[in-house]
Amino acid sequence: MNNKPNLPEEIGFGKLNLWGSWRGSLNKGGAAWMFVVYLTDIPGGWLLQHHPGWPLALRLLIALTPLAASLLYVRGIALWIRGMDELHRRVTLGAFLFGTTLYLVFNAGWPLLVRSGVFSALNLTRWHLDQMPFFNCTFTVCLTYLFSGLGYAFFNRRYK
Amino acid sequence: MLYTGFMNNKPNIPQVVLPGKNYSLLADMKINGWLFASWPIIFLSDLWLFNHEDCPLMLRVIIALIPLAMCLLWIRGVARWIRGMDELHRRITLEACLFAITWTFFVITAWQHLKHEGILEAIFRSSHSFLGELALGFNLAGLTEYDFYYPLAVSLLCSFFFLGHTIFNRHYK
Repeated sequence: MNNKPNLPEEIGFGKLNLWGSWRGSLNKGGAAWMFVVYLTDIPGGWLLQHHPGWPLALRLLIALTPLAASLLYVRGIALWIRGMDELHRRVTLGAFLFGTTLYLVFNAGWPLLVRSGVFSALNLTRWHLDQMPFFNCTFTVCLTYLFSGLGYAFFNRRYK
Repeated sequence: MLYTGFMNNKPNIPQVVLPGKNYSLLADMKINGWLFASWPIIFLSDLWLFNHEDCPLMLRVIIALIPLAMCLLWIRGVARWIRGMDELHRRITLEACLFAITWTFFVITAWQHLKHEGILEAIFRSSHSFLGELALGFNLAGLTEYDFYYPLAVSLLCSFFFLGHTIFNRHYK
């Protein structure tokens, strides 16, 4: 009962203080697992691309490591949200629901836009907008985090 | 009169869309109608886009975005339905929704990730099964494997919502 409830501002850029909150925030909201995803996803992809002759079991292990880390990251977030008070829990749940739904809408809508030819017609293919890496765990985690932050700012406004 | 009218409204209950004795087809259609309507539209729009490559860009963009607009209307309908629930049901349904979206999101990302890394190709070497076709990719008169991601995502979403609701509802029995 003496445990302090978790705060949504503990992660992200809410309190940018190098030795105060950043070191402590690595244990909050599954942030450590998020960095494991970053550290295993792109190097793993590079390894798989440059060593196609490796055994399937090893390739599978390398490909599944970022996915397993993503699951643990989601578990960390769920535990962190469970430690919040009622109001913060409601706002943060809404924010993460907003972030993941928006990402799913983007994921479903982007290939439709590519097939309609809008990026080629507007010459946006020079920035590779037609090749958004939705398969990439790093991209997925970053975009969801960004959308959730946006959702949090939006839902939190009501209670200020 | 205005306020008593609102106060006499019964709150929504999640059981109307779940299999069981409280299931109501009418309520299900009211909530998920846009979703069910978007299934054939996504196939038709894709076939149309494949067969009419020379039509104006604006028309192509509008036709490509129709399923997405229907999807957004469905999300709006679900949000309004949840807002009409009492505190406890709202909490359980929100948690079940987050559970369903997170798992669907994870399965779709894992599928795309394994496909991009060439793991699915190594597993499904012969593409005679539907899963193999889906994993390796195909183009059937304009219908590609991407067209099946949408119904797959929706089926997963419904299944995980049912599972999530059963899990979270158990706490309060």
